[in-house]
Amino acid sequence: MLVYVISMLMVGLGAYALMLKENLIKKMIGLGIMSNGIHLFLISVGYKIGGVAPILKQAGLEYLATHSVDPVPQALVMTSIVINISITAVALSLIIQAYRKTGTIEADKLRSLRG
Amino acid sequence: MDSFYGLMTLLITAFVIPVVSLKTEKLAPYIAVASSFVAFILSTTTAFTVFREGIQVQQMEGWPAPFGITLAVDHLSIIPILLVSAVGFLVILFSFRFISRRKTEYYSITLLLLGSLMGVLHTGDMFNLFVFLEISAITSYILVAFKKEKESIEASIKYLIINSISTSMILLGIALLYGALGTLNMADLALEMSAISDTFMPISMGLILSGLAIKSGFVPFHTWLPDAHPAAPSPISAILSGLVISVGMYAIIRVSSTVYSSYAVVFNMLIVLGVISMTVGALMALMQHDLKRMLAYSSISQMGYIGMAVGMATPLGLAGGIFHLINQAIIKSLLFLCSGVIIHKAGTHDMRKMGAKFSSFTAGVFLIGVLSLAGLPFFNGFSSKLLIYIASFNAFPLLTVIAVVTSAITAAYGIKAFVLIFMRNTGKSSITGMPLTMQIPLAILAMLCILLGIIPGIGESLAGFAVSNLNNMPYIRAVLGG
Repeated sequence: MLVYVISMLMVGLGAYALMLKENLIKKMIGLGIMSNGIHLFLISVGYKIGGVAPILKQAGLEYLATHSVDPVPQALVMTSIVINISITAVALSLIIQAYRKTGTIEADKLRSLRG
Repeated sequence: MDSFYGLMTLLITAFVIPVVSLKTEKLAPYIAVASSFVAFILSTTTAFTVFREGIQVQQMEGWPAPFGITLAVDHLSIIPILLVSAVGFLVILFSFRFISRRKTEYYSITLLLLGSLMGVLHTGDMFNLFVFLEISAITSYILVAFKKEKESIEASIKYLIINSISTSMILLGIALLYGALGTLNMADLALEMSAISDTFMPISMGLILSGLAIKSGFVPFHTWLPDAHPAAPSPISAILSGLVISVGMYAIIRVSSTVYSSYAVVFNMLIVLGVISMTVGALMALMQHDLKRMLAYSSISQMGYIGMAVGMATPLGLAGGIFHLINQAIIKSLLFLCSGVIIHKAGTHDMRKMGAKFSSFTAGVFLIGVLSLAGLPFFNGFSSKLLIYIASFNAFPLLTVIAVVTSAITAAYGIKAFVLIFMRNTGKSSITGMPLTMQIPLAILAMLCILLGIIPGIGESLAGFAVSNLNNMPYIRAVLGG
């Protein structure tokens, strides 16, 4: 139960940084914390304390059904981590470009756009 | 399922282009045009198969349904598949002469964007939907920042931040779904969903649908759209405004009608969001002086129409919504491509400062687009809006009044734009010929506007087909096999 609370706290903290911090790098750190919170949540959905790896060779089918860790969330999290890396790479390169063009990475100074 | 190979063609050629371009950049446009044309042909043959034989299902790598990834094309998803492949092909053909620099990046990433949109339309798996939505989002960020100007980079950062919140919400919703039901296949989820009542289900529904609502630009979540869509090069604006938000809307219809079919509250939310987007979008569009910004707000307004119609949840409303989805994509890509020509010639985005002489072809095509947008009779916007009016009149007559008034506002800003751009020939710049590769897409899209207006039966029967099959039992049976 504690791990769910922690993961939701991470999501909340990340969302706070992503939305309310003005520094773009801090926003990106917030995005990282938020998605890692979701990943932690997803992993703990399929986790069992004292669970074994779901490999059929070592144990019988019935033993695995009760004792193994669910492998699907881990596969999902791997995919999601890769996606997050790409997003972070694109975001940081955009921030570099923004710094070169405007000389600032503070969102409130950058904003010449209307809603 | 042929269109799956179309999807693979798009994705593979997206990576072939950079390799080929190591030698010479000249080949990139040809490869892109050929690949998107192949995708269009394959989607068309799939469309015939779907209408003849019903839902087409493909299990990836032969894993049976709830375990592997399922690709399914049914009567609902074939319409956006046709739209994406056809409009995508026309837009790439238009870019042929329009984009003169950094062709490798442009064509490679555009094909990746089109391929990921096709992926969203094909998939029958929630997590796969998320992955393809993320690919389309990342490629959109890159293409919005393509010009590398101050405005486009800022718009792209803003788009990235708001869209990251949306995708995180979708992922969290999917995590809750998996935690509660232990499956991610949409058909399997629908079966499990009707069996249990879990307190987490409304939360996951709220997270996923608000995430998708951000992606399709409904009003409280729209703030990224009027910055991001105009900042991109014009062909990309056409893809973003015509296809990307339509695919977001498709995802809303798919998720709400297949997975969360037992929760009626979704549809009431869609009506509220739709009416707000419709009016606010139209009013904001009326106040703009920037041509592309006006068109972007107009997209929000049109998405509002679609949301309201789908929210009625009656067969007529859904048919109207899906028909308007088709028309919106055609009209908006036509107008954005046209705005590319206009802005290129006038050298400014500001409609008040445009005084150049334009060819009568540009003016005619733009006029057709504007009149269709406003919903004049004999143009396609009219036939779908008529369905929406009738559907909303049957449910809530007040909404019909709002929709008609909004149409009048739409006509007002459309005519204002036309008058400002074309009726004041103060400039002295001479008329230069437009390349054929730019004329053909504009002409085809304009003809489609008129064709669907004169013979609305085509679109109505397509949309009707989609709606009559929206009952999710055939879908579940086809996917799970049994």
